[in-house]
Amino acid sequence: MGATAESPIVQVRDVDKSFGRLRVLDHVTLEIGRGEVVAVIGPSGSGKTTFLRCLNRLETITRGEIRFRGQVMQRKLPGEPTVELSGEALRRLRMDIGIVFQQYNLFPHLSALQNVTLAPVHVRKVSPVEARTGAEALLGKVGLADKAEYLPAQLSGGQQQRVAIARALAMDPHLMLFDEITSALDPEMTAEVLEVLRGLAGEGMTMVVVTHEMGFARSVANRAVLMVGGRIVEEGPPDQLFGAPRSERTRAFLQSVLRA
Amino acid sequence: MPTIRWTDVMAFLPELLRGARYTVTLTFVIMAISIVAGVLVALARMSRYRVLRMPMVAYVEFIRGTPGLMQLYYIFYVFPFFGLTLPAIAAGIIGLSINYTAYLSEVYRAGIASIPMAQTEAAESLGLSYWQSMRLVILPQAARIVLPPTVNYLLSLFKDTSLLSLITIQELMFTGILLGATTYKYFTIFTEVAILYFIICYPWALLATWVERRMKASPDPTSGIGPRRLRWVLGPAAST
Repeated sequence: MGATAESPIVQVRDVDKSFGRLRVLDHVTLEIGRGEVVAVIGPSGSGKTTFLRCLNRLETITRGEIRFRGQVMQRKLPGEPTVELSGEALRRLRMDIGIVFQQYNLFPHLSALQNVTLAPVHVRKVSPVEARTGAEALLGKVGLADKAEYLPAQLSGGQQQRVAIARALAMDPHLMLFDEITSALDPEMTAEVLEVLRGLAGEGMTMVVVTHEMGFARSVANRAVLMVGGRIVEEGPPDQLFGAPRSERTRAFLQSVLRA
Repeated sequence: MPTIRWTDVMAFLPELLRGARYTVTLTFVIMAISIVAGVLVALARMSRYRVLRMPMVAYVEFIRGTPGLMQLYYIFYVFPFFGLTLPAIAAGIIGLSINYTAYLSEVYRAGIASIPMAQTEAAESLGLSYWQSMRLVILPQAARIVLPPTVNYLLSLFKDTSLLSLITIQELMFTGILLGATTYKYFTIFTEVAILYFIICYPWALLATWVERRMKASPDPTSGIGPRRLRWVLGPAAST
């Protein structure tokens, strides 16, 4: 998949990102088509999370270009006008990109339902009643219909993460970013969260999933991307990348993961 | 040994109560101004823009480094030389508000800084603006943390309004001074003044202790017991 007639939803061109003298992303180029599920895998410290955070401009890039639905979000290239969206323009763009974090980052002073309705009411200006109906439906979809009035601290990690997914979905995003969302969860809770992701993929949601769950990457993603040392070492259909890796780095990584 | 005569006590009481009422009103007005201004100063001081940050650093440090009484005198006695003559009451409210704003802003800065950056990121990723993130996500959580010190500052402001007696504002202290100057019954008058201050302050001291104990019972602001308590103390926050 991926090569549809439509233009890609995300275009990443030749992106570098450095923190001080530390280069975290190194000439990363990637296109993500509508409805694609891209799994980004790789060892710790390989730049996966930074890459994901660049996609909704939680990080600014040092060089390169990132487009979302054709619109330039960030651009720093010699000979081309520099673009650094901020304020209202950035806000409008972020409304359409959902992100779910490793540590959930729910708003602890708000109930599950309020976490989900906050942005639709205050950003999309949906009426509170309508937002509530939508939020209840979403909480139902992630299996938490009965937890709407609970505060985050009264929920398990897996439940909190599912609320976080519902919160992101409530904005009706065109793209969902998942940043190692099961890393803080035990296997049972991981399963319930991955089940939600599987459902989303089935509905055609475009997703970029940074994950350590190789089984999930293999079974749900249309495409797997292996990052090592800030570079994309190999990308392709999961079956190929996992089954018949072309690069030595990929084989080494897969071996180390399987041994673990 | 001087004695206190009940008839004197009753004779002075109405005027002292009028002064006490003034003290309470002034305290609440100054506190209200300082809380709002304190949040704004804290945000400005945490801004990424130097032009906002630097003047606030200078302001806070200057206020903390000079006596409040001097600040009041400056506004009341020095400003007129520059053509700015303020009525005592305005000078008093402005002076103490400037002073308390500086101190509270430092409390609020610490409170806001204690909320994890991840909360701001989560809010802004959803498309919330800076002000919406602050108002709906960060400040409600910070409020819980800064509540006990804020109540303590309120308590000390009740007493600090006595400084206003020195720029001729007829709050409780000045009322006592005036009564003393005409009757010389200082023992009776200042005992009454002391008791009235105590009656005003003690309930707030109790509240401060109570709030602090409540907060201490919930160690982690993100633990949930905390926020639930906050809602219980402050009422439901940012509900939709």
